[in-house]
Amino acid sequence: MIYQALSQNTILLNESAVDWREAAKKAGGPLLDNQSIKKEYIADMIESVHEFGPYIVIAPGIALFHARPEGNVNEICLSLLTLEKPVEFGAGDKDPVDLLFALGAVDHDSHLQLMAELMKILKDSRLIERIRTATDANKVLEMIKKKLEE
Amino acid sequence: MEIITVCGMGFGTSLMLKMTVDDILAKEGIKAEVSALDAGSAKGRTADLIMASADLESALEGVEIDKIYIHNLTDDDEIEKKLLSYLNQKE
Repeated sequence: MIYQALSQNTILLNESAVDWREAAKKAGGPLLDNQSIKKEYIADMIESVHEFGPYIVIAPGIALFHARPEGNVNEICLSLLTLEKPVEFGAGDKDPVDLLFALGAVDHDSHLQLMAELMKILKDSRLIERIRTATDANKVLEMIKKKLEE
Repeated sequence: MEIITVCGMGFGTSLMLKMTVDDILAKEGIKAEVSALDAGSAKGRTADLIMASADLESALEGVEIDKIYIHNLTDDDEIEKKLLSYLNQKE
């Protein structure tokens, strides 16, 4: 599932963003390009941080952008973005953030498998460190594939 | 026992938390119903326990259900420690 969502096109490595809003736009970009989402969804991802605070910073240095689908998500999708310089969310000691995901879901639970796989990856701190410093999207895909085959 | 995991939308971090909590409960042989909900719906619900990201504390203010706030949603140890210490206290 995650291996189908992530591809060379939806993994952006070592990018730059001036703040978390720009990071959200960067992370959403490839999902917009491959028509998984409409552009309103990116605005909604940003709005949900305004609405609920920086709780999308799920772990130190890691953020998971997402929003209510509201008809703006065409299919379950995920992108991965790493930043050359981390950004601040106002998330206390979980700041700064340099590994970001953008998730699009179509309903309440059809992305369950994707989330389970994402959790498996996020809980492996050594793998996360390697993803953070990776410069080759294909290598990241390989690492993820290997992890999920464990 | 009924536990609700909560996040802003009800299908992102609350779902992640539900999966971890389900695993812990299964491992400990504890029977409980765990559902993932958004903060708005959680306000009108009855349950024994709410689990959510620490950043949602203000969004859940005024909800009269026991709450456990989690700092790092990928840290199984933190979630397990907090949940089991709460359950032991309740016994």
